[in-house]
Amino acid sequence: MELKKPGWRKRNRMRFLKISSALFVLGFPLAHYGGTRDSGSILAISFAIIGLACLLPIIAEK
Amino acid sequence: MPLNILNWTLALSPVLVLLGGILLRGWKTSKAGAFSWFVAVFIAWRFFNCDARLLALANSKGMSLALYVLLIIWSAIFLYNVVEGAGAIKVISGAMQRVSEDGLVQCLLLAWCFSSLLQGIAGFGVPVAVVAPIMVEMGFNPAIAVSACLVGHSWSISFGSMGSSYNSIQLVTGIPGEVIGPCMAMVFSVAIFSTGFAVSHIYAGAKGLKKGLPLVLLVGTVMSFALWFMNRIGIAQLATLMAGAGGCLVLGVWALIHREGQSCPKLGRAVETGETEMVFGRAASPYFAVIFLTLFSQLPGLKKALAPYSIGLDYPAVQTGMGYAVAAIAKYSKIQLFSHPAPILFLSALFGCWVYGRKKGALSRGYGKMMADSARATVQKCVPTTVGIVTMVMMALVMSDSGMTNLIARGVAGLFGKIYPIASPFVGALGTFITGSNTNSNIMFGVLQYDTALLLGESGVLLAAAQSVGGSLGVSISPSTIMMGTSNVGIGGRESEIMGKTIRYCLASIALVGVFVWILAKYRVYGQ
Repeated sequence: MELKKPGWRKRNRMRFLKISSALFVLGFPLAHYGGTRDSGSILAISFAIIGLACLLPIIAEK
Repeated sequence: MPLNILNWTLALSPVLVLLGGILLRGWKTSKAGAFSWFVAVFIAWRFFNCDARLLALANSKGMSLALYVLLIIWSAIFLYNVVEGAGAIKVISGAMQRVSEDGLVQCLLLAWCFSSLLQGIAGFGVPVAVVAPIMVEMGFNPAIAVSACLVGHSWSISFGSMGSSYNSIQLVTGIPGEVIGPCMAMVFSVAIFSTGFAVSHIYAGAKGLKKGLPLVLLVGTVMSFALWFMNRIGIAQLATLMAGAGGCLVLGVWALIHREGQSCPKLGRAVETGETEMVFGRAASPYFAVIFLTLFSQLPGLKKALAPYSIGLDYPAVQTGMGYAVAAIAKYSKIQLFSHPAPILFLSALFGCWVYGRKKGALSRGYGKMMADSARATVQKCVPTTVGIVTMVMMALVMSDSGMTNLIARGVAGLFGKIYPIASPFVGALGTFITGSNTNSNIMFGVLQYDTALLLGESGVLLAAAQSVGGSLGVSISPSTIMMGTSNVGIGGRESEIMGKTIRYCLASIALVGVFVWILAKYRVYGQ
């Protein structure tokens, strides 16, 4: 009998979480810089990066 | 923001989403944390009039806080993986097994003292995962072994893992360690005794309670004093480790004195670890290094000389559209480069690699492999934890800086009034039950408890301490920790049975702590 392959979510879970961690590392200085300088464009980029970092565990985890 | 049921429910909704996600949907902490972060940002922006700048700064503060805690977690797990990978945990545990033939003494020694000593080093379920299988091997019923470990080590969480939960409650409330540490140790004394009695009761019911009474009183006093003393002299990150070690020592001496017709056990006996023989001193050497380096970093002259070497970000003052103001802060979540637990743990791990890798004076070829394997295992274990902590801390900071936490606190203060100190540790336990971590619970509810205390005119220090103690005791009913125990002793699927056992002891301990906190609050033992 052929063993059932684990789903894509399970196979890529750790990869997604590692990317998420890396995005947090990237978003952290941008959020601080954008906030202290009140720079609209940096703030927008930081939100996009942190938002994506938070989206990945939602997709990856059961 | 006016306090009414709609606003209060809105402010509470990120926590409700987190709770519902974990409890009702069975989500992992990282997913629930991320989802509740989205909810918190949306509510803060839409209903609490927070602009992008305030939210970005709150996120950045959250990541600053998370970094402080994660550095400890990563290095503590790395150290544990080095010790475990070398087979040294087997040697340390073997020494514990040989101390006594009495089941109750063995149960108290392993589930109450030794698991707490391990919590002082690693935490994150490691004590249950390591000690419960040893107890089963020694002949204990698996359900009793897991329940006793879960309840027995639950007093030791806050100061465990080199103080990650203790650090988190300081960071979110802004209370200095030298103020909250001794207060927490005082409140923990009730938990130490209650968990000791609970382990005796789990093992042999009322008979066990009666037989264990003098032992629990003696060892509990030693551990309570050690916990308080380590805080008093400013070495809180070693408080659990030293209290656990003190408990093991006293119980060991007790067992030796009361041995009937048996020869004295040899703790230094070499144990086969797979590749080589190892004696206790060599096995425990990285932990001796942790103790030595921590004490060394606390030498007054050295501490003063190294104090300026710290890193931390400055944050400006901000205000929401509703008028809720957040003050400017310099070096937020400051990391002391030489006294932060992470470099000490990391150096001790490297020392461990060197000691374990040595063969007859020369470094073995396994040295590099040991480090690489330990690093790989650390990444596997810590990445999901990292995402979970970062998302939850950011959510907590968004709630705090937008005024949502303050609004919840005002509602809770109105609801409970003067009896709130009794409920306070239950809130901490609820946080741990939801998130599976005392650290996360402190981050989520620490500010809420502190703000509620101030609104009620109670001591913020005392209720912040109650939060952490309740959070610590809540570990014994945390589903993830229970699963770690059951899966390691081969009774997977019997989690509800174990929780049915532990919840009684957990709630009783928390109730005792709550009453104790209420008495301390009533007689104003601690100032605001």
